[in-house]
This record gives sequence, structure tokens and C-alpha cells, in this order.
Amino acid sequence: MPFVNLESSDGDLVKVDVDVIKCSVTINALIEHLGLEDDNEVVPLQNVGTETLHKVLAWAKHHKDDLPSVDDDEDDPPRERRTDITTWDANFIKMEQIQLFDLILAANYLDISGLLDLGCKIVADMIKGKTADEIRTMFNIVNDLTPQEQEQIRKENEWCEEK
Amino acid sequence: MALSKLVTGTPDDDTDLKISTTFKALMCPSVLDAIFKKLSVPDLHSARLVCTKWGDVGSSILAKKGWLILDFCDVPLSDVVSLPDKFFRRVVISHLDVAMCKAIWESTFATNCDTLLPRMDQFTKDLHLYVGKWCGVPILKALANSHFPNLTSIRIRFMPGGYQRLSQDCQNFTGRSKLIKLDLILINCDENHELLTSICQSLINAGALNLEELRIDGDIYPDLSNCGKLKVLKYTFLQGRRQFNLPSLNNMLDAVSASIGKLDVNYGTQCDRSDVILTGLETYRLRLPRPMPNFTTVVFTNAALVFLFTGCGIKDAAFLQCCDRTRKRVRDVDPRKELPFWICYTMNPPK
Repeated sequence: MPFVNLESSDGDLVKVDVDVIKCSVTINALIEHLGLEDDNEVVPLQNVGTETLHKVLAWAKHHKDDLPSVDDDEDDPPRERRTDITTWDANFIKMEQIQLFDLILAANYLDISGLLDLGCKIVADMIKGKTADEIRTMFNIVNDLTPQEQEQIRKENEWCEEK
Repeated sequence: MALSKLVTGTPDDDTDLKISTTFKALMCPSVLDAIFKKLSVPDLHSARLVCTKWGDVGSSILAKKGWLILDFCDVPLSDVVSLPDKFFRRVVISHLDVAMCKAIWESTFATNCDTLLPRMDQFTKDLHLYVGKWCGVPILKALANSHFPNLTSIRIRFMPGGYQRLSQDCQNFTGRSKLIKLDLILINCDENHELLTSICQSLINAGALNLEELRIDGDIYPDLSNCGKLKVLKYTFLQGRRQFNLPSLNNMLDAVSASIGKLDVNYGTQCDRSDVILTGLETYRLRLPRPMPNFTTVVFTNAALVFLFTGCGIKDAAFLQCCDRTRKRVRDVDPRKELPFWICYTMNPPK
């Protein structure tokens, strides 16, 4: 079984079964294009800390036999998506907000759609039913919109509705 | 070549280490995109008002999820023109009650058509149109004359009311190779049955080349022999003066038996007590043609009795579900016995 060594931004090396990490489009593409010459090949991941990397790998290991997800066609109107989260995923994703966002960034960087999807579901649930003010407070975001821009967004919102 | 040389790219946009992870994640367009896709339209409205970045990313998602709902009769819509192009992607041109549309509104309607149709022409991909009396007629004419060239989905709701204005101009639609989905809804259209049947047939012929999904609510039975790519057929019988013409529905099915994957038949309010037989062979009322190499799912709603003959080839390869009318409760059913009002019958998908 081929292995690849991933180096976290903290400088730690983690040896990973290629079969486990193939869910990462980023790493998979590299391996496919370049081939693994030997087991000592090191892939540095500048944006992923050791703790987060281990979380990513735990998720990837659990989901290694999942069927590849069908890519959403950007041009298609968004359809009803499956919203259920498995018990394993629900337990896995229980973490501090800061860790959750670390994990989301790592999933985004490594291009692991299933994991990104899971993390974003949790964030979407945090946003649901809240006003813009409440969202800004929750995430500590500064409002940089001018009154005119806000007015334009309100107008667009007013016209563009749910059917 | 060492992998290390290649994967170290994409340095952080923001090198300031003090910027929190949360902030970084919530300002990253691809992450925001993934989050916003999971929000409802009202939640998207709030999210767009959080900051500039959220407003920008949110607008793209909103343009795909939401609909620009325009009532052309009521008031002049001149300020809609100032909306960005992307919001014209999905448009509903409605007028919920034709009977209420006063004659004096016709000029408002015409003005709105003049202002908005050129604006929508290139950008609209999904169009829902209400047609009745004079309402919607100029837009139907625009459709016939190959305007809106980028439409992939059209829903036309023909409302009860006089159709004097639907002249010859609305009966010859130019071809539409981009059309994937067509919904034709005919409510109480007995008076103009012939005219509307011919308009609908012409629309189907126009999109036949690449049409994948066809929904008909009403009691018309168009010829589908040119729809070689049709995968989904949804038919809801709306009773007018005529009875549900199942042999005609059989003809429609025969025409698309090679491509069809899903059939959804709603018997509407008419509840004949022995309408469906899934033999695949017998010619008795609704009959599923054979072979249907891509067929996976059949759904019947409001059919009182459904018989499945033992020895029916479909059943052998199938997984059978039975649901109540709300489509929520699912239980296993013995297909040798009678089935209740509503069944959903799913076969193993083709290899």
C-alpha cells in the first residue's frame, strides 16, 4: 500500500495511506500527475496545523469507502440537498468554533468536498434565523457597507424572493 | 520532481497572523459559497447585509436560488431595470388572478414589457409565465419569435379566461436546443382546448431536441415522438369536461419508452377504481411499455387501485415502496396484494 508523508505547518510529519487521503483533490491530483517515487516523498501543507491535520485524517479514514459525490452543476438551480448528518459526523464535528473554522479552511485548501460540506452545514445552522447584526456580533465581523450599498442590497433582496 | 515544490503555492492572502481563523474562513469566497448554498432565501437576505464580501458572494447565490417575481399588470416596474444582470436569471411573470386584471392595466403591462423584455432577453434561463386574457400574450409571442435564447426551463400556466389574443403568432415556436425542462399547466381551459393543445404541441416540438423533463397538468396528450432524450414525465390530470384519456397517455409513453427514467402520474380528483396495471405487456388502461431500458421510478398519486401482476418483469427487479398521500410515511408492501392510494415504485437504477 503506497504512503505519502504530509508535513503540517507546525513541522510535524504524518505518514498517510494514499487510499485515505485520496478524498483530497489537491493531494490526489499531485499524486496522479507526478506519481510517488518512494515512500519518503514529503508534501508540506503550509496552511494546516498538526491538530487540524489529524482531524482531517480521522474524517478521511472514516469516509474512505464512501462513493465519490456527484459534482453540482453550477448552472443548475440548487436543488433539495441531502441535509442529514450521520451520527459519526455529528460527534466528529462537535468542537470549538476556532477549531471548526480551522477544519473548514483545511478542507477548502485540500479540496475535500465532503468535509467542507459538513463544516459549512454547521456554520449555516449558526446563521439560520439571525439578523445581519446578530451574525456580525456572533462572528465579530465589521460592517463595511455604506448606507447606499445597504440600500441597494435591500432593494435587490426585496425583488429576489423565494417562490 | 519533488512534490514539495508544487504544493507550497497559494500563500495566504493575509499574512497578518493576528487575523483570526474565523475571520479568514468567513472572508474566503469558496467557503462562503459553500455556506450560503445551504441557506434559505430569507437567511441569504440577512447574510448579504453583513459586509461587502458577504454581499458579493451572497448575490451570486441569491440569483441562482431566488426568483425575480414581477407582476407586469399592477405597477410600472422601471426600477427593476437597475438590478444587476444576474438577478434576471430566474423570472416569474405573474398575475395571480386574471379575472381581477382590469382593462386599464393593459397599458401598464405593455410598458413593462417594453422596459423589461430587452433587459431579460439574454439573461433569463428559467422563466415562469402566466398567460390569460391579454396578460402574458406579448411574452408568449416573444418566446415564439426566438427571444430569450438562453432559456433552459420554461413553465407556462394558462389561466382560465378568454384567449382571443392568442393568434397565429403564438402557434409557431422556433426551435430551442437549450431547453431542458418544460412545464405546461392548463387550468380550466376547456373553452380553448384546441388552441392551447396546438400551442403546447408547438412548444414541445420547439424544445424536443434536448428536452429531458416534461410536466403536464391538464388534459392534453401531445405527441412526444421527437423527444428522444426525455427522462422524466410528470402528468397530473386536471378534470374538465373530458375523462382521463389513458390510451392517449399510453401513446405518449410508447413514444419515449427508450429514454424515460421516471414516470409520475397524478390522477387528480378523478378516482376511477381500476386504472393502473403494471404488467408491461397487457393493454389495459395505463400500460407501461416494454422494454424501457432506462426506467427506474414510477409514482402514482390518487390512483385507487394498482395491480401488479405476478410475473411482471419490472417487479422482479424492483424495490417497492408504499407511501401515504402526504408522501411521508413509507412502508413495505406485498406487491401481490392491492396497493393503496399512492405508491412509489423504484427499480434498481440501470447499470
